Amino acid sequence: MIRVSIRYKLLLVVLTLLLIPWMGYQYVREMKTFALQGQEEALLLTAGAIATVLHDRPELFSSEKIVPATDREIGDLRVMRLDHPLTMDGKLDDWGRLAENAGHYSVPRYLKKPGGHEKDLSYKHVLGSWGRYLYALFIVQDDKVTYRDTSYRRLDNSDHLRIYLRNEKDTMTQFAAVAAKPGRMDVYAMDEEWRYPITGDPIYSIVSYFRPLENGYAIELRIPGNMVSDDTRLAIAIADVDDVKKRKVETVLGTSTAKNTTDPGRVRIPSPEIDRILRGLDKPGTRIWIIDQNKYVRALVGDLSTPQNREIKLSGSNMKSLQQWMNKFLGPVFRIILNTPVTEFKDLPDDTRTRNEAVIYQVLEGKPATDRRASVDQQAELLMAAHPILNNDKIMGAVIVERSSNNVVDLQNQLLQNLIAVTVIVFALVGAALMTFAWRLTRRIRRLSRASGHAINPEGRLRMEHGLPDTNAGDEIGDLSRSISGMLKRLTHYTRYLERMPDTLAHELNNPLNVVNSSLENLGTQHPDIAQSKYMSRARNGVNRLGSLLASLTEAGNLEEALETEHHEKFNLNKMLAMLIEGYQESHPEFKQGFITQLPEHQVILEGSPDHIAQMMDKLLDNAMDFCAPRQPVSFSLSIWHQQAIIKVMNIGKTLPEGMEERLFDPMISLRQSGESRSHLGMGLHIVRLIATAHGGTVDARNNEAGNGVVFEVRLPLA
Amino acid sequence: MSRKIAIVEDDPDQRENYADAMTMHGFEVTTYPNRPEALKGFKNELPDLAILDIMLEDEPDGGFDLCRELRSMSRNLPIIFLTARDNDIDTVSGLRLDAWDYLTKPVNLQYLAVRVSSLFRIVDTLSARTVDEDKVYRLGDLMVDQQSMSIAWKGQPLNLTLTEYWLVESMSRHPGHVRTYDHMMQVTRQSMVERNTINGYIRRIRNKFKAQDSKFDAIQTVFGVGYRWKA
Repeated sequence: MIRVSIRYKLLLVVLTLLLIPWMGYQYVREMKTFALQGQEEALLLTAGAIATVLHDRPELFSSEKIVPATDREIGDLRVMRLDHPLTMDGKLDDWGRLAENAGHYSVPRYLKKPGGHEKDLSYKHVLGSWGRYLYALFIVQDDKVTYRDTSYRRLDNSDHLRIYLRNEKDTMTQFAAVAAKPGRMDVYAMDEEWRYPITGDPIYSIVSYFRPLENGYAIELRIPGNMVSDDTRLAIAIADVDDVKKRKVETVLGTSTAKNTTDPGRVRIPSPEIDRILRGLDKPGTRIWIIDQNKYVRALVGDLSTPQNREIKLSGSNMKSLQQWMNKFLGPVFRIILNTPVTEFKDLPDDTRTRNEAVIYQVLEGKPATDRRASVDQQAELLMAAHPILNNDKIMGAVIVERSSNNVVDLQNQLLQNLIAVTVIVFALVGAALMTFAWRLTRRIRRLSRASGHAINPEGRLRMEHGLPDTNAGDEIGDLSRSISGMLKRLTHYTRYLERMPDTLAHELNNPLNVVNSSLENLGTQHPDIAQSKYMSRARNGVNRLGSLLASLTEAGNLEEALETEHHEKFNLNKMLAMLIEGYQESHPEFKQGFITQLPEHQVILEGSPDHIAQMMDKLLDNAMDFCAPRQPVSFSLSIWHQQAIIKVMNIGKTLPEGMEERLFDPMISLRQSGESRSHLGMGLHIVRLIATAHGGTVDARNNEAGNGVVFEVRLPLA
Repeated sequence: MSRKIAIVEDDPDQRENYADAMTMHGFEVTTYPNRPEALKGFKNELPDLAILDIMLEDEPDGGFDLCRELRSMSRNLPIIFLTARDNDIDTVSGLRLDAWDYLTKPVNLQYLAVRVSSLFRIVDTLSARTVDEDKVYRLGDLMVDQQSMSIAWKGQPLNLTLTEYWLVESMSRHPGHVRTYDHMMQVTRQSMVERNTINGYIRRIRNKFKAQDSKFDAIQTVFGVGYRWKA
């Protein structure tokens, strides 16, 4: 049987408390969904509000001709609105995040495909506008940078940048920016074949700067705003020359996807008016898009990443101090359990292709829409809400508001942290309470079990001197204690009755025995001839034997009563035993082999009844002599060990059968063979134990080590 | 005139056997089965000696009660208790019933007769109020009057029962010599005597001496053998 103590069982029950945090976790997760929904609605409201601001204001979109969706061309150049002017120095840092996101704005197209090796040219680019200028940045990957050799008149003999400009009158002008060395590039108006400049004078209004990079180069470009009007079409291309000897243009990679190289795309400059309105709505963590009917971005403000070290606290929570305190201890645990939302994540600034087309489609149909998606790097979940912008019931465009769910995750984490903190405390308190309770309970049960175990002494007799604990308690343990107590009381009565039984029996038998005895006597006196009869003597003999049996039956009972009332005195056990043995040798001349005694020199003072100790020794020596093998002496020793007098009586002879060592001292147990001349009821060793116990001592019997005899050992406490 | 003995014993067979034996020894015997009848009889005529069983019919201590009542009628009437257990003797001593002797069952009728005769002799001696110096011997502080079967210690008489007298007399007769248990068993003139019985007698004797003289130590225990009177 597996033993599991109540303490551990209760501990297991306490573990069910762990359901509380689990429940809480589930609840918090549910809440997150609600919170996200709430936020979506809030976003939708925001989108709606912004849309309302933009309603019926076609002029906002009018800075640019609204192109029907069908006219949409992939080669269109989208221009990002900058918030500061840029320096033409080839350095990318003033482009900020735009430089990092360069290349996400469109896919370069080959205007001239190279022969065998396609992959040695690629670029990323971005366009921006600030004030009266249009800026462009090209980050070109080129395995071989070739500078202009000024000894040639032709300009297409080195790596260069081509600008295609076509105004509203469909007049095409072409410019090339070439670099003879890193730094400011020379810009020329070019002929149709891109070979020679139309005039020898460079164009100074277009500024271009060349800066070699590790595996290529960067070109910054600034075009004055007056060159690029509403209907201007613009394309920019990179021409690559690799072979210094041949100086042949191998690849031309451009922004336009038009069917031929001379068909540049439109320039899409976000409406400054919308931008201005939206700037007022800019808040951290939110990104607002305005798109027109053609799904082109008209304006974009805000940044999805939330500022670092933001402290989103549960407002109205009074657990702040508790939380801080718990954070100190449980910080590592929290870090394991909770996903702290990243504050930095990458997302595409404005690439419509990766946006949820369904949302945009739906909103341009005139229905507000919401959606969720993961950020491009899968680090955060983004919420978006879109609302259409109307002008005279005609859909002009849409507002898309995006926001990361980070603050919801944050909120969830806060809740979880609080939950964990509260759970830990509740767990500790409840656990402590239950453990205390269990400890008390088991202690009481153990005490009761110990007490009831001790209620019966090793001899199998009841001792109720102390009573059981908890009998006054009003609970089940009290009931148990009371019922055990009652049981023991009834058992005590019964045991007492059994113990008194021989005495009562002897008493009752005594009277008829006395009748027989006195009748025999009177018979003998009245009829002297009968007195001489052998039958008379046998009858007397029988009566005497019966008498001695009855006497030994009552002896134990009498002794017990006597021991209870006996006056105790201090005496020298050593001297007493010496006298006893001496007397024994005198009074048992027939026991010729005698005794081997071993007594200490010093006094051994005991407190008790010397008469009874003598009676005990008498029984032990009698027993030893009875079981002693012929011509073997009885050994007898006294020693002191641990404040106890140890009396050993040893005889060589028959050994004890197994299992008899304990029972030997019970009343009416005798190993003597029936038919021996003396009448024995097996009370002798019982009396030995009664006396030893009454003196606070113990007695036991065992076979000697050699296995050819028996040792009786009595231990009595010293005075 | 023959002496009158009252026997109070609830068992008719034993009662009649005692009566027969006593009659044979020349005593006049009246028997009673219980306390009320005995009391009625005693009020009619007081016996010269009473033999009382302790347990009388439904009264476990009927003998003791009867003894008290008898004592109130006569201070010097010899009373012999018939007891079944040694402990009863202690009880009798504890109750200070002034019994003259105890006899444990089974009763030897021969010894009973001896006891009765001895007690009558004591009564006679006491009534004569004379001391036969020939029958008196002294041993230190001890004085033994064999005539009145009485003992005195340091001049003070001791109230010993007949059996106790016999034991002290036996020990003091051979001071310094061990009286073995076997010998002392004979001295008590009882049929069934255990070593414990002897120990009990000696204990009570010592207590009686010590009641008078707390330094009394004339009776020495020879453990396992017996007792001796210190020379």
